[in-house]
Amino acid sequence: MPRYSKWIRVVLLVLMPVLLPLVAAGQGLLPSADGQECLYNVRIEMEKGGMTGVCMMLRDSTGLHCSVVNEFGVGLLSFTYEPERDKVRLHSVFGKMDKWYIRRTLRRDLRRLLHAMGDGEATYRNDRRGIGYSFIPITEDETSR
Amino acid sequence: MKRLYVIICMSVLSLTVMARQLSEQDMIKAIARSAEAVSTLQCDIVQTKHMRMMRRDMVSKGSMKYSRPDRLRWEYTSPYAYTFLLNGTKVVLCKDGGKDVVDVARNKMMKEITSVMIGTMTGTALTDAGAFEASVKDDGQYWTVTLLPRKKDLRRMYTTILLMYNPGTGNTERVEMTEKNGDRTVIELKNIVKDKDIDAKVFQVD
Repeated sequence: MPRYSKWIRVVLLVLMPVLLPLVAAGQGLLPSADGQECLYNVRIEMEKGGMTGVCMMLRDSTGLHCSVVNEFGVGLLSFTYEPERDKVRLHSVFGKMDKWYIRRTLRRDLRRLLHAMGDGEATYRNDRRGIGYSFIPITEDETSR
Repeated sequence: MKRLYVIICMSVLSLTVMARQLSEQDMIKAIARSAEAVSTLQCDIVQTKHMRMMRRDMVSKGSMKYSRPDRLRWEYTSPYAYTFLLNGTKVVLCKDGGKDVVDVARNKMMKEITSVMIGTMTGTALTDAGAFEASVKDDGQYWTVTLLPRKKDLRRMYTTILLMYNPGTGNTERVEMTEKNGDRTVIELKNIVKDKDIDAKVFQVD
């Protein structure tokens, strides 16, 4: 095997310019670099109503950290996504949404939403429960300090 | 002699406490009087949301227009466009070109939000004993009002609300709302204009 390692290195070096953009493109609408924060306009529609707000998403070495607040700053939802385990961990859920069966659905849906956002899609719909999620990036012309 | 000394100390202490209580009552009355005298209020708002999970704060800017007793236009222009319009019992929420009309009388959460918004911006929350337990202290430049929510729905949202009232200008200039998880929202009211006529079209729901 060691005699092939030189050729493997050469092949990788040649393919790197092709592979790297593909890896970056896999981030889609998500923050791509460590320490990068992105803002999104959020809409969550359910059969009996819905909510709107803003999401701030931060990428670091452990994964994605997300905080969704309504426009008045009231916290609605906060969670972390660990890409290595493909797992969503909910930290807080607002008020009446804080039920174990809702949290379970949210974890599943948010994971799928993040997958979709990684592919460049801003929306995901859970047809079984009739819940639609929309996370549309906000262009930061004037945001945080 | 020692007993007399203790009695005198206790009397002085109780008088001091009573004086402090009266002073706090005076401050509450002054703020309530100032709030009741306001017919309209307009200002720019800078809202800073501090989230423990995030490295930087989220800053939103906009404006607020209020006309006693129940008309409020709360508008964000940056970094998102969002308008909250209250006229009587009807609330209109405008975002992304869409419009949602909510009947405040039927939507408990919306009712709580509107009462908090109006009450904290104008200072009337201070005398709403059913909604808040209030205390005031003089911090020098500001009288800091601490509001502890009594109602369950409001307690779910906030553990404490602080109002910074400027006795010199008679305005609430800053509101800080702290949530259970430690996240904090600070709203600064700038360029405050009181009692100037506001075009009724600004509050039109339809």
